[in-house]
Amino acid sequence: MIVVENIKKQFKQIEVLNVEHLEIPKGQSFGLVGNNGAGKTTLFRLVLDLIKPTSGRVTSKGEAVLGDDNWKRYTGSYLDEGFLISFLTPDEYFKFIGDLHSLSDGELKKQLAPFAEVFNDEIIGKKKFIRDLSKGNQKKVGIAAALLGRPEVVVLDEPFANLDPTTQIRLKQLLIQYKTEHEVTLLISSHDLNHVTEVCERIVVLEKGLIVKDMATSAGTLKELEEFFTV
Amino acid sequence: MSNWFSNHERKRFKRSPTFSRNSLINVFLIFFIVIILLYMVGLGFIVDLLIIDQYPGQDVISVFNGFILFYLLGDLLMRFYLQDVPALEVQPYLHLPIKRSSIVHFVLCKSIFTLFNLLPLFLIIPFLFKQVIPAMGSSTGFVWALTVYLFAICNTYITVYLKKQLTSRPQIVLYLVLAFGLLFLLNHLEIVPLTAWSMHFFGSFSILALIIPIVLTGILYFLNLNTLTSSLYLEELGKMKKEDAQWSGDFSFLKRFGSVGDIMSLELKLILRNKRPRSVLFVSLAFLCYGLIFYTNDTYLEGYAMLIFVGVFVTGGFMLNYGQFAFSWESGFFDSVLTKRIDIRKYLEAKYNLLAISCIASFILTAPYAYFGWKVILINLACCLFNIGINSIVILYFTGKSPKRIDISKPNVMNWEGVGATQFILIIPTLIAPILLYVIFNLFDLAPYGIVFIAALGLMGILLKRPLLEQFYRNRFIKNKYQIAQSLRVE
Repeated sequence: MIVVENIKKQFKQIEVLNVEHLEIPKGQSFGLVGNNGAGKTTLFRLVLDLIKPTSGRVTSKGEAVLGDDNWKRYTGSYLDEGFLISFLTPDEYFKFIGDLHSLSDGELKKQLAPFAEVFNDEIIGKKKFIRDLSKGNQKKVGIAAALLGRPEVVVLDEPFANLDPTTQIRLKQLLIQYKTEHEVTLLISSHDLNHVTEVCERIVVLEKGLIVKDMATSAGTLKELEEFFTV
Repeated sequence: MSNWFSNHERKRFKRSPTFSRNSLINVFLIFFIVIILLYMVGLGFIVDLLIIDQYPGQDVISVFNGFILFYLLGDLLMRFYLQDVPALEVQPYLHLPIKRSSIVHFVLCKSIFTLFNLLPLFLIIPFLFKQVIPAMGSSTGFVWALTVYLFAICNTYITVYLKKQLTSRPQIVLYLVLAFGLLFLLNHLEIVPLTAWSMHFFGSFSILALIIPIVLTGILYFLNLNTLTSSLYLEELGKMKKEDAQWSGDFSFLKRFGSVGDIMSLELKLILRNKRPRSVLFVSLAFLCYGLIFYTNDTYLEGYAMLIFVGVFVTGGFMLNYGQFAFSWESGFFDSVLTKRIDIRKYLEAKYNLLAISCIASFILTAPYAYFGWKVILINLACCLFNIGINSIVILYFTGKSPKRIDISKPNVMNWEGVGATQFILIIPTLIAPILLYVIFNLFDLAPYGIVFIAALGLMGILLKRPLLEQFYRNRFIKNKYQIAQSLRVE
């Protein structure tokens, strides 16, 4: 589904990412872990064509994403608050994204329904602009919007950070449920080893821009990761 | 498709934080815009009379045509500084299923809707109806007006292009200023007769002259479309631009003044490393030249009142501009000021010292005004003392109640963030009070003593600095700090 080939990214002569080959097959849930500055967000930004690689390329369904618009039709993503339109209310934002995917109002409502519990009556129907929401609620809006239109690829950066424990658990269930109901290629990054090993069937560890581990999730994965990150 | 776009633009405008929260600023801003528009309309209606008055015996229309090129060049320069490039607001749309080219089309269409494209109409239309149509007939007249106006539209896109280049090549500003200077010089020396060219071109009144700006607008539009489409990346949008941390000093010489020096060096770094305070600093440097407008005019030089005004302005330019947001500058880390081990009195003293030093530095820098006579220097000295002793205290008093939040990384031009009633009230004690004091003395024919009194008040303030900061401000600050912190936090 998504193939990263010989990607290098430099910021001011300093190499922050160097991935020779990474292939994420259709329907795989892929977890990216690594310490701060390991290059997780950079990799996701390259996948979403938000920054230009210094060399190499990323393809989605065999097509290079660079300067292309096609992948956007089947890819939902949320990396940070920059993805939200700050002066809209959450309702307006969902409606806008829904319109882009030509969802009817009923369909939009249906697709947002699983989030009712997560939203905790603080998002839908409230007269508050997105910029005035708390960080956690902004994240909820972003993730819910990323799943609108039933995308085939979902890219989420740190989906569990900033959320309360109840929401973290609920979101995890939502992602796992979404994964089983639709054949989705899920890319998430996380610092929370517990959550990421539960959601993802494959874990890749980045360190200083390089892939240092690539493993299928098994019973021993969490322990292995904990050992890896214990200095 | 374009439906949501105009919808979002309307909402962005209506819901912008400054617009909805600060009605006083809106009144002021609308007033300001109306004044400028009235000026332009007024100028449009009397420009022909002005030309007849200044260039008697010459054809009004052809003199006007001779000026058009210069108007357009000036317009371009003004746009370069003031016109926004909306390209910076597209980030939330990049990851959505919207074509890149559509995003850029929207950006380019949006940039047409700027006040700068309205202004030339106010100038052209009255002239068109008063002079051109009576002389040339209506169809020729409209072709002429359209030609001139389309060149203004071209300017919109030239500005968008130049500003896009600016992010990757900052030296472009220098080239632009040099190129303009050279053009004016060559025209002045009559090597390149720009006036004559302008006269010929706009005086031709032909359809051919209309085709040139149409083609030019088209070319510029597609040039922008190409460059912007290929540069819709976070780095090039400036979202991820990181500054080198090395270039500004660490002010270690302030260390010897203990923790007051440390806080001052922190504030100096704040000024030099952030966009908005940095441009306030540059604007304040420009204020130093303010005296030239008044000192060269004998009517002002003979009196006192205007010189006092200029004196306060010139020696206190930075203090007034920067000090009016004294606490707002720390919006991003005010909570840490309160929770870290910082002595409140020293914190306030550091703020006071910084303002005082800026006044002394401004006074020294403006010492060459002695050329206009000792009177100027003595008044400036008195005003400088008044600024340090009284105005700094007044400013810290008024700003230390409920300052408004400021994002210091945003540019300064047309930025109303942080402006509230306080900034308007401040004008009264800081600028008008010294003149009032002088006026009272002047009533008794004691004008020079008025200056002495202003200086003496300032000196008194300086001598009372310690008890004032200690008793009055420290206690007031401790009482108000919750309110200050509250108003500086993000809502």
